[in-house]
Amino acid sequence: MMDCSAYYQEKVEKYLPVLINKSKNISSLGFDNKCMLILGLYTYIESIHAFQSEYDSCESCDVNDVRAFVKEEHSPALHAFDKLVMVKDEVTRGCYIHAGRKTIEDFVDSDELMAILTEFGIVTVSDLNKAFRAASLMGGN
Amino acid sequence: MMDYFKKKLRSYEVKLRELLVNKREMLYEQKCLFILAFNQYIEAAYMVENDISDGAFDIDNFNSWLRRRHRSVSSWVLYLREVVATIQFECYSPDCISDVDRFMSYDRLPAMVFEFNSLAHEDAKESLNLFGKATSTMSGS
Repeated sequence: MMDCSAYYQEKVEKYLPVLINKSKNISSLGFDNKCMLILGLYTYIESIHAFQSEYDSCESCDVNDVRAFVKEEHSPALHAFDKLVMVKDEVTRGCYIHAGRKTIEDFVDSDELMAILTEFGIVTVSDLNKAFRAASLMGGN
Repeated sequence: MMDYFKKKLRSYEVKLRELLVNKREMLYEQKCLFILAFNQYIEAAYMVENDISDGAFDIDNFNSWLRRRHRSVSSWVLYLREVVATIQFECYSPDCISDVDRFMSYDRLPAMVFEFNSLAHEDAKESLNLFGKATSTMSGS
């Protein structure tokens, strides 16, 4: 029988470097990478939940279970998580139609994405400060 | 709603063609989005052709439509849908990466694309012929 806890741990470990890498310079990501960042971020949160809950089944957990976990353990990011779920659906249902594309682009530029990335330790406050400093230098402020 | 699916069909058609032209140079993220978009395209074609104005997707009806109208590719579409599910749940896991690469190099892919492009619009068929001519000229054959 498969050890699901180990499975999810491995998944968390594999997703984290990819997400950190993609989150370093979000503004320069192409549209395809933005979509994959959104899908990857949701899977990462789902895997953390499954790993911490020591699931004994590897079946995908329900979105409501994941939401309850976020509400319990990461409540500052709950609102942003709800938005992430909505946008994830846009990626799988309408990534190339105009409205879907706009929703995805808006989310990637939003504070909500930043709230999730910081809450789950994908970017640190120090990274964010560095990024803001670089952006303000570029802007001449 | 029907206008929405018709619009979706047209948007995806353009995008899929654009992506296919660059199939060899596609990055992993683009391959994933191509697969998601191709599935979307087929679902939208099903909605439009069956005049499903409320947008309700019924998997049994979808499967019987596939067998009835696209018998020659129906089993391959089921394979496509398996890869879609893998992308949605495990987009950065090694298993998903190999599944996606395998699907993109699948020798039935051109036949699948042709099958659905030729169904939806006559002008898509024409574009695909032009695409075929362009690629055969590029490869020197």
